[in-house]
Amino acid sequence: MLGKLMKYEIKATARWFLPLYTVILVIAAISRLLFGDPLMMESSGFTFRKAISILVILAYVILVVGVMIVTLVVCIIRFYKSLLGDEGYLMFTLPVQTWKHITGKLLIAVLWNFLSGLFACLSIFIIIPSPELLKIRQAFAAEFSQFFNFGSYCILSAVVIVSLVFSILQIYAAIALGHLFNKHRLLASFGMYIAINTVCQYVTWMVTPLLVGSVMKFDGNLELIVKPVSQTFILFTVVAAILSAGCFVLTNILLKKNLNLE
Amino acid sequence: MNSILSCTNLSKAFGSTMALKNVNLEIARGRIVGLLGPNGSGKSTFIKICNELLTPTSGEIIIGGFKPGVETKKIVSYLPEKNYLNDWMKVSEIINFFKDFYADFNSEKAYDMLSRLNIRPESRLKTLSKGTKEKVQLILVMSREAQLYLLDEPIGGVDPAARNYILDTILKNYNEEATVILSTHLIADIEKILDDIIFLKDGQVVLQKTVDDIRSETGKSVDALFREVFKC
Repeated sequence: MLGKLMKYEIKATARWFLPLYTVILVIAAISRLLFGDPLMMESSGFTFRKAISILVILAYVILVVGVMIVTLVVCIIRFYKSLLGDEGYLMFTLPVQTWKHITGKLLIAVLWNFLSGLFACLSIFIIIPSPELLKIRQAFAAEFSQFFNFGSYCILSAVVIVSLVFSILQIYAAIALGHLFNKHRLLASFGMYIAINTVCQYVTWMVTPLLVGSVMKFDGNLELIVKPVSQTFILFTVVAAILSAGCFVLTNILLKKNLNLE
Repeated sequence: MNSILSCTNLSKAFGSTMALKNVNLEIARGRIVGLLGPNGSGKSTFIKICNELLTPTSGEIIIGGFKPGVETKKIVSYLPEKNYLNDWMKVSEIINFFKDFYADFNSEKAYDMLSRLNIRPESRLKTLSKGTKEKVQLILVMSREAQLYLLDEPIGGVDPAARNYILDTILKNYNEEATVILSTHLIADIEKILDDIIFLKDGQVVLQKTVDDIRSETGKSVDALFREVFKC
């Protein structure tokens, strides 16, 4: 049943994201064709071409940020409308456990967030020609390769995945809590989000003194900072995972025991 | 135990208003039951509690031996008073959706009814009129071979000509063992198909009787009795 829910959720959301991704790639391609490589500019002096290049980069950054925001907003709207709007009459009368509804929505939301990130990266390859990009990557790698091993990639991936799941589940819990109110449920959900987010931030920040302490002592020697940073990341991941589980359980209880569709 | 649905001391409050007050009901298998009452009498609230869309404030409801949950949803086919169809889907896609999730869904039946009502399966739901969407929903609900059908205002939005077809559909598409509970205030239209009636007033059951008993005891039609009981 979870698989079926996910299949249906992908169908329901793909009609938003596929056009969105097409737009990113097309805009990236157009700007490349029109203005060439934005990184290839004369080192000094202000030229018209340079100004345009800066504008292209700026517009592009706005576009990428916009895509990530749209992704999140669509995921929120889907959760709200399909479970707590009129469509909830259809979804909640299916012979499916509530936790499967939440899990299905969550996994697909994670999927789209990843794809949005992926397409944002892909479009960078279109805007900036690959030799240039390779140079940047090599410069980056030369600086950091000694600190980046397999373990740190794992930690980084875990941080990214858990943070994403964490932020989505906080929103789900806020929406479910807002639904407890008889009136102004949307407003209540916003209020609840601020409350949940404040609590979660407070808790996750408690794990960071370790990091802050070492940053304070940072004297340009990267080697000294790697260990405390990865320890902080691991600790953050664990704390965020526990809080995420809490949000999930809360959402599940509220939607199961306190569902009140109007 | 022969009842498909029983509830004891069921109450539901919205803030300070009581939508249902201590409702006790036993509904047998194989009956067509009219849940009748004026607007705001608690009909929809009752049906939504049966579907776990609302949580009762107190009391209990048992359907086919289970409290509302996954097990009851497998055997209950529910027509809400709202339009729950996704506008972006085609009629054929929503049929596949039902087939995917309900083991008792009969798509042949659904396509047959669609063609009888001249609804094209490839139409997008967005392009259908409000009344046609209601027909599609009813077709979906009646194409399940469920044990209990809960129909909330099934004929409210459709034209009188289609009403007869829909009532026929309801009559034809349920088996001897299944029970149909339908809520409405258009009593004259449905009176002829009902076995039992339940009158709800201000969240309380004021009368539960068979239609035959009403006719023989009072000599009145259900419609006439309704007008008398709920006189404003």
